[in-house]
Amino acid sequence: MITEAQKKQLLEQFQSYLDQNTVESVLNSDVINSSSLLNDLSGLKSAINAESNHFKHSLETLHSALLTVQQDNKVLAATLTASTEQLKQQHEELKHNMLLELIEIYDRLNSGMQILQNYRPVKSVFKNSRKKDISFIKRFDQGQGMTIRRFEQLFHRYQVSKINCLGKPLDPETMIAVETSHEKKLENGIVLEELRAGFLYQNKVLRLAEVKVNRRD
Amino acid sequence: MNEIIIGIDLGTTNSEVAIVEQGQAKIIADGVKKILPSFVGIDDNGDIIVGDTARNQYLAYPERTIKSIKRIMGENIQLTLAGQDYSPQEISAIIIKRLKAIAEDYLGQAVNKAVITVPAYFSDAQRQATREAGEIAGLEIVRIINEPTAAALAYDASHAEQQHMLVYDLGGGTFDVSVVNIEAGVIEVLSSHGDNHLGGDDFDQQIIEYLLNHLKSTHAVDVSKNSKAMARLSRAAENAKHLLSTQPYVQIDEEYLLEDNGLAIHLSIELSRMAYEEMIEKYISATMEAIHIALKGAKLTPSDIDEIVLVGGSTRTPCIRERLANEFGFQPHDEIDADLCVTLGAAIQAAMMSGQQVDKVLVDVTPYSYGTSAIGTLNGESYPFMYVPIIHKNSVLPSDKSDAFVSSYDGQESIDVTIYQGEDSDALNNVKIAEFKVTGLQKVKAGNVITLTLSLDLNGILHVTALEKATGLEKSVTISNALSSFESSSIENAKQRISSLFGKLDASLYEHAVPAEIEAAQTLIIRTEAIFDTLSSEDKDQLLDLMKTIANDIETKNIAALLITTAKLNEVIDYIES
Repeated sequence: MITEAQKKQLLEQFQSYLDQNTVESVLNSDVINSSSLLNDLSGLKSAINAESNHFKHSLETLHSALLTVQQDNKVLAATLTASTEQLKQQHEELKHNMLLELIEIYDRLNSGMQILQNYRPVKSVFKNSRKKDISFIKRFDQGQGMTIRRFEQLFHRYQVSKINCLGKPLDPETMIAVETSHEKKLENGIVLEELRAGFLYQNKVLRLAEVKVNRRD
Repeated sequence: MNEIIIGIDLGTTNSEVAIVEQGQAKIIADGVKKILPSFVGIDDNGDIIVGDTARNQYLAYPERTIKSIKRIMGENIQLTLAGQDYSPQEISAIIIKRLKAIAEDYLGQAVNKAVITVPAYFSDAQRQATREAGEIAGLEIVRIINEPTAAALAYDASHAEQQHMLVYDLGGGTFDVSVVNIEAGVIEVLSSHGDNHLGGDDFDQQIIEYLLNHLKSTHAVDVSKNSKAMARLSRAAENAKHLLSTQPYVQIDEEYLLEDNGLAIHLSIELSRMAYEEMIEKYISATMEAIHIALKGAKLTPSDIDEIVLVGGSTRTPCIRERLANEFGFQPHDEIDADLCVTLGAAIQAAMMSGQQVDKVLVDVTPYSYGTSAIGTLNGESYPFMYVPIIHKNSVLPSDKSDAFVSSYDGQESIDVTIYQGEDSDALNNVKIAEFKVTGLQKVKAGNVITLTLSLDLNGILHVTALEKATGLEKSVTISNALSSFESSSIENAKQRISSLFGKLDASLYEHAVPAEIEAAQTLIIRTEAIFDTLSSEDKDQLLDLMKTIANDIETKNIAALLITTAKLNEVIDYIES
């Protein structure tokens, strides 16, 4: 709603306008030249239309750019996910291979240890020398044992565990029979000897155990 | 959507399944395993087991495990498995059913059709039995194709022009060679020959015997009675065989192999590729004879063969490739995994039948050979820059290859190693991409062994290492963009060669580029001088003036003026010569 004060101000402005302009001056003025006015309006309309089209085109371009960016983003995200997955697989594969290499070294250390433990110094007339000999072997045995335990601790940390085979029935999921032998008292398929130790990594087979099994017939 | 048809290679020892996805043939793995051992068994609970687990129990329970069923396909016999009789078709069907399940698991939908491969020598009865096996497994066998045909398909056999292909298939225990005719995409096996008891296992056995003899002569022990030690020797032999495919020597070390009279017996021996190749020479020669029989069967000669394809893991032995290259005069194809190419071919055939678009099997290969130069023989004469490729063109990437070289004179303390990219037997016609010097070699007689190793990865990074075998002294360089074409270097190389041939030429000629206008003017002056004596004195005067102006223009490098004067001189010369 218009207030009384505003109404009064408007009327005063109108009065002032009428006082300042005569009919002739208004008629001669370009302002009311309808032809020119229409032309101007038409030009203005075209300009506004052009501006609008330009603006619309810009908006469309921006929209298209946004879609492209979104699409690229999706592709990049997918690539990133695939790369992360690939990296993870490569990491696992690397760890897997490294663990297998470590197990190979562990195998050899164990073989050496067994031979060392089987060692019996010859009985010699030089008792002092023999004593030294025994002491040397004992210390060496202790050192080797410590190294082997170090490996076992490392395997434990990496969730690597040895497959227990001896005296058990052959489990084809974790063992492979590479040789047979004949023991009347034992059941068929019982593991008689472990020819190569098997290992699990996170409860999955890292290396099959190679075993000698019993065949009763 | 096209109907899915899978490709199956039902092998004697191993089987695989593949499909074509987005135009690319792909092996479907069961977890991480692409290969399913062709073993069928019954476990302790009476359930059927297939693949690794059945193989693992074979020796323990032969009465409830079957292997190599392919060898008796088509025979009218029954096999007893855990007290129950089965036909060979039924046993094969169990393997096929497992492959079908692997494919369905991967695709997430049922699969009802398949293409299966069989050896080229299979009779109609054997083919029919294979078809029946597929049907028992719940698959419609839309086509049975020959294994060499599948291999040819994997190597893009869609050539319009006729060609003859030799498919050399050497597996662990069997060898087959086939001559194949390809015309307008139609593949026909012309002849086939082979040996059912020849393969990579024989190569392993040769190495094992070599190691046993070595232990006998050095430690006077017979290891063959010790199961544990024999198992280790078998693994060591197989590993050595694999390593000798890429390097010239292998050190076989098996510490604490066994105990003999309270003493540890260690095995430590070096095996050279040369010695290994001598061991297996008789087997390779046997395969060469089989090739000639197959060629005779196809009424062809080696010169009629356009391409050779290598199939089977044992073809990775380098001397096979060399013998074939010597025999036929070109390098065989081995880009596609030799263990899987038959299955991939079966998948391609399947895709073609279901109307799928099939692209060439994609493998990352090197487009060039990489090697070094050495003193050798070129065109029957001794030549110091004979090219010795180490990584051959079309080798699958990443590639890691070594070769051995020897010092050429007594007391040679350094060697210059130059690495080239290219195929020409003259190293200087190839592109030099790196060079380095190895110094500090031990002062010994000629023949000091230097091993050169080239490792090229998928990103084109080439790592070169030269190693003095006796001392372990080594030097390496890395080239970061080895897969690029070194054309600009090639031009520079050619320029240097020309320059060295014409030693008196001013080297600055190559250092500062001469504008083409000046070169053209100099040529024109030479042309003018050639006819100068035959001219009248009037013409001579006119030409002399023009030549002086040209010389002045060249000196002042006024190219615009030079162009006008040379045009005038050209006009006069043309007029005189006409």
